[in-house]
Amino acid sequence: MSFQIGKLISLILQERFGIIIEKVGNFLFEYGSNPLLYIMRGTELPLGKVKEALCILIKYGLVTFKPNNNENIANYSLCIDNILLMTRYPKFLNLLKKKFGDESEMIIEELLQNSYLSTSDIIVKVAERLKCDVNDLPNVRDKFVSLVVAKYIQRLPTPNEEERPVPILEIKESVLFSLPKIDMKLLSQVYLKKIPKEELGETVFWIVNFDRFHQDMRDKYLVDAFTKKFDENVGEFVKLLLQQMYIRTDPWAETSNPVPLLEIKDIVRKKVIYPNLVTFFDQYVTVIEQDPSQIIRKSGEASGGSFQIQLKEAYNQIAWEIVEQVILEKFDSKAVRIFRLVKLKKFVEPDQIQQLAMIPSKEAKKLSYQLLEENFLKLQELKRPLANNGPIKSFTLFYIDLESIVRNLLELCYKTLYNAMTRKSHEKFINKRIIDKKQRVDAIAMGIQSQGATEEQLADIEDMITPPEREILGKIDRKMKKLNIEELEVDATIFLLQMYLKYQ
Amino acid sequence: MGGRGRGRGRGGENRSFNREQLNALGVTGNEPIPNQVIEPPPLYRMLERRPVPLESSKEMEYLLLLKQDFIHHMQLSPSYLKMPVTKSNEFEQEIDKLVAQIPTKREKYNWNLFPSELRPKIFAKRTKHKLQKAVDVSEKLNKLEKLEEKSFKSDVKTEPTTNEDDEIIEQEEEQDEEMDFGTDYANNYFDNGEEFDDEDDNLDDGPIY
Repeated sequence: MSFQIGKLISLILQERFGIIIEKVGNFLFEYGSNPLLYIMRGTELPLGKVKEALCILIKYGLVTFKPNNNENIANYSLCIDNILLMTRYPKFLNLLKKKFGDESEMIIEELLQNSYLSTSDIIVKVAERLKCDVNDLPNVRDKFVSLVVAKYIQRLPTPNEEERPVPILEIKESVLFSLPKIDMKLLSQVYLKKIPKEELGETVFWIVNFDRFHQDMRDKYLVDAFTKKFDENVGEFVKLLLQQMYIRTDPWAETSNPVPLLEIKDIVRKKVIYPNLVTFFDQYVTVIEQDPSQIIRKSGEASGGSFQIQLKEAYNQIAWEIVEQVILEKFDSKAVRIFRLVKLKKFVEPDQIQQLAMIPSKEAKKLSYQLLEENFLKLQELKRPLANNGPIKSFTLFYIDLESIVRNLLELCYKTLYNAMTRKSHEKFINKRIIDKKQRVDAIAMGIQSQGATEEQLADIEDMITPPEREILGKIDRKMKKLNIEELEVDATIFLLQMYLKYQ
Repeated sequence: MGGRGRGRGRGGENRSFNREQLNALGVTGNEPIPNQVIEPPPLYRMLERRPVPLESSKEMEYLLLLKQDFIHHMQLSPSYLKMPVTKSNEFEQEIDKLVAQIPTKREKYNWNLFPSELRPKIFAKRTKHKLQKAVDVSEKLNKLEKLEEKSFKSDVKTEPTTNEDDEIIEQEEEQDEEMDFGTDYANNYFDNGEEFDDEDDNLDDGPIY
């Protein structure tokens, strides 16, 4: 793990959990797995605070522990991936909102905020947020059940039988998604606050299954890509193909098993939303088949033909595309032409580049050396003696190592994220006084509004912020928004690059 | 010319000065010697190209909202740990003081899922020690009073000193005991709780989870 990630996760932790936890996280990142007392010594924090910090980190799944050689104490280590995931939470929520609606989104939101919850907690909390009637509780329960069945939520590993000072948490795969009985009668009593929830005596807790969300995101980006390239109808076709894929293929397989065309046709017919896809179904299929990207390939003619989708290949192509885009923005289109040429030829001599890319010699050299400098191209030297003691002729060849480029780009993304977040906290810091004032004024306005103040009074309080101040506030707002959007966008790139590495 | 000749004669090399050496001597090149080295490179380089503006869509707005919500929720939740207030970081603004007064509730954990060493259990020990000390002092005062009433002058002079000695020794013991679990830096943090000791007596029974 790189230095850059360390700086990034420390900022992510600080934004969400405060300075103390950031310190503990930093220590664990730097020194790896460590027992409690070492953490305390290294961070120079009071023991109580370190304990509290570790509890919180463990609760949110950001730190795991294993028993030390001395079984009474544990070694704690940081889960870097889970910390980075925190920047992706909004995307998970949005995904679920689109797919299953608001109630499901709320369930996941509660889970993300609290990390783990019992069945009754989830249902009661969501019902309270919706302010729904007792009779509507089964509705929420059904939403919850469907999320478990669809594997968006899984059980929290529980300590195994024996009592130990350091529990070993594990769960059998067979019960990972199995539902306990939900007693609705007792639950509605809890909801009406007639009995305390402790009386339910629940032992099953639930956490969010990020892997399932990543599958969905993977599918979504593919569908988006096809929609952009062709039209919505093709997007819908790919969506259905992926949906049918889950029935017969392991979700992370590189290539899906063949899906019969008839199956998709049947589903399309039942859906009324895409009339064009029904009428021109065969034409669409031909277009997709002939697409040079070859992501969706025909695998057989039987029963009207069946199709396979090449997921690994798809993300391979996406990764290439991202790299080319980065080069385009960094060095402009001529550099991309050189890069594509090297990609096409696999190994190219510098002289050939000038001729084949049709770029003047000096410029071609400059650009290819720039690409080399930033590690987009690599250099291979071949030496071959002409005669026994004659001069040695050497060739230099450019080539591309995509995986190393992708890893470099990931680093770059982490750096970008870090820079954006640093900038954000800097803006907050230099404008602290004015932001605080705004917050105070808002608080006062809220206060008197709830006491039933007139509009005039409210306007008076609003006037406490002078026009120039208001202007500055607007500026800060715009800046923050821009930086926040940037964070989300960079995270999308990170996801695509990670997918490429996952399939590698 | 002369320099070149001498060099050749001494070293027996057949090559003359290379480019850099000549440059350094100021013999060749019309280019001025770069003199920017004196100042450090700029902290932020000039942007070669302007980045493409970010598109903001409705979806992005919603994502932003979700992001802000989550961060706000975390910052207000008990999971957001703050440093204990010390003299070095006292609040500058009134509002910060008010914010700090909001009672921070502690998280409730399901302790089966955590290593037992993380459970807080300092409370109980602390209170016990304080109580013992209080009793000792009152007893001693009684003793002193009795002594004052009964004994002769000479005794009065000697007795209190021994008592004082006793007290010093006991205080030392007290400190020693604290040092034993003095690795628990948290003691400092919980100092504030001393005033509430009387009410917290029932804590002696055991740790509270």
